[in-house]
Amino acid sequence: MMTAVRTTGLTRAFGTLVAVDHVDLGLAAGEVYGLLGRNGAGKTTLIRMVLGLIRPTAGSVEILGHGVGTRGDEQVWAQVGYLVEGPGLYPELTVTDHLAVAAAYRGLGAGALDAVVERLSLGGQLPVRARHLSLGNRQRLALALALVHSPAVVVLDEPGNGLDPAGVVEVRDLLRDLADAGAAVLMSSHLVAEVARVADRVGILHEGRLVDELDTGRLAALDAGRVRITLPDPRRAPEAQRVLAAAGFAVVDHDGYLDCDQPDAVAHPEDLATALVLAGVPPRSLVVSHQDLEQHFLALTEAGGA
Amino acid sequence: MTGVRVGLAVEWRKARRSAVPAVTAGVFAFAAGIEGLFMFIAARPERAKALGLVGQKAQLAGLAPDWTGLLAFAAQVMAVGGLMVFAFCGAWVFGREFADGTARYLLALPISRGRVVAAKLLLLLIWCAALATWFVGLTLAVGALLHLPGGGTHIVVTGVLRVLLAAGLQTVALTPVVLVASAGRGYLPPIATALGMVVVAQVAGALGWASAVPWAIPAVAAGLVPGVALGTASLVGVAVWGLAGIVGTVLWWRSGDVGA
Repeated sequence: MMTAVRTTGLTRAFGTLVAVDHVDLGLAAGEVYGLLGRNGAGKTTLIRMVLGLIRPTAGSVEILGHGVGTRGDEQVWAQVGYLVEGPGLYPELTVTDHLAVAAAYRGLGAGALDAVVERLSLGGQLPVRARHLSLGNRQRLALALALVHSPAVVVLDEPGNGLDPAGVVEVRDLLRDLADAGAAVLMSSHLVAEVARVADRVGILHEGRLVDELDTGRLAALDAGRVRITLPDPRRAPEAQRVLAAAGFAVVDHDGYLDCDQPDAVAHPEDLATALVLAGVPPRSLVVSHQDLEQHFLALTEAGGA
Repeated sequence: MTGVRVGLAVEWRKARRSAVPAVTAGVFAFAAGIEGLFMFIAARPERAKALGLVGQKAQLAGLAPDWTGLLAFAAQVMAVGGLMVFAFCGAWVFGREFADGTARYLLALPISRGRVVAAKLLLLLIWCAALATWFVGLTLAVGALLHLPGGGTHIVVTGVLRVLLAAGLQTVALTPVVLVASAGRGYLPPIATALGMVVVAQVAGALGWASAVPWAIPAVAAGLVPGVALGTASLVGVAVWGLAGIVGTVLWWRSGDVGA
């Protein structure tokens, strides 16, 4: 699959504050990449560098094979749609005006406008000036302006901001459809559930660093849950690990406790308990837990990174 | 040029939808009204007194109630007021993009940033030219309505050209203000800069340095600085100053951190 967006060692410092610290990420066509981070984690700074709005202190960005910040950026921007730091709208212009402005810059016909108006349910708002739009409709218009030219790369900073629950679902479906149609979608959010539901891959940004990246397999594993085993004597963990391996369960020794995320172990934890008791290594506790992305995110960001 | 044309069409649409151009036209209409009032008082002091208008100020200003006096007054209005109004136009065209948070959506377009800036500068030029033409038209209407004497073709053409020259020089001299509007990311820095420029121009005029201060040159062209004639060096100075403003603005918009 072609890499649509790639950052290499991307770094940005503001004085002594390192907002983004050596971030390497790649995003393929047809993929939704969710960038997750707390407020101030560096998501928006990263996105601004991806879009060439600010210059990296170090590292580089490539979009569709073109180095951002080099000659010929305009050709790449023709294939990129973006929404960053909220909708930037002209208060006195109507929705129609905004769409006409976007069409003029992108060299589009009316057909393209009709499609995006319909997709984002803006039909009833066309004659309304931006200053009179609700927060949700401002966000819809901003999304329409980002998507009006059917871009190959879509970069959205907090796309669900200001939308009601139905609007959030609509946007989620929209992003999925864009990716299914072959677009590469890079989205950032501090809303874990929003990212978890739509992203194929999730990058967790904490204090400027990409502290974890979860692909579909790891996201599914988080959903699938795990069994955590503690022993009265943690020094016997290797022995317990051997016993469980012989019984067909792969466990990971975490220096004091054991984790097993095999689906059959999660479904039948009693099998693990039985094997350990019969081998003379009875567990002190055996807990089945379903750690979702939110817990994983909090564990990473509260601990200060992996 | 296609990018500039598209950019200009977009800028035109923004200006058309805004009340700001009408407000600036209103300011010059008000200035023309003041011209008319002063001329009326100067031409008919007894009638003005009978109507309850205070005529002392106009007479103290030494205004000649004829076409020469009217057009000289108009040139002075343009030289001083033009700086503020044109600077306000520049602040709106450039600074509003940052105040409204729209600038970041002009930075990653299929059109280069240089062309986006060129379109904005072109709109500003058209806007200032339109305002100057509007003001000249109103001034001529005032003169005609008051039946001012001394309206020979040569006098009127020379007077009108002087107003237009002051306007043109003022337009060129304000380009650093649009750089301030961009780098200052809003309306206030350019407006404050323009106010500062007016003060500096006043001081330079009083000290006899007006011909060395680019934005005071329009006042020299308007005949506002007694004993100082407009020289080639001054005109070159305004051109270099204006060019520096344009180049600085383009470079700033093309710099990597404009979207910070």
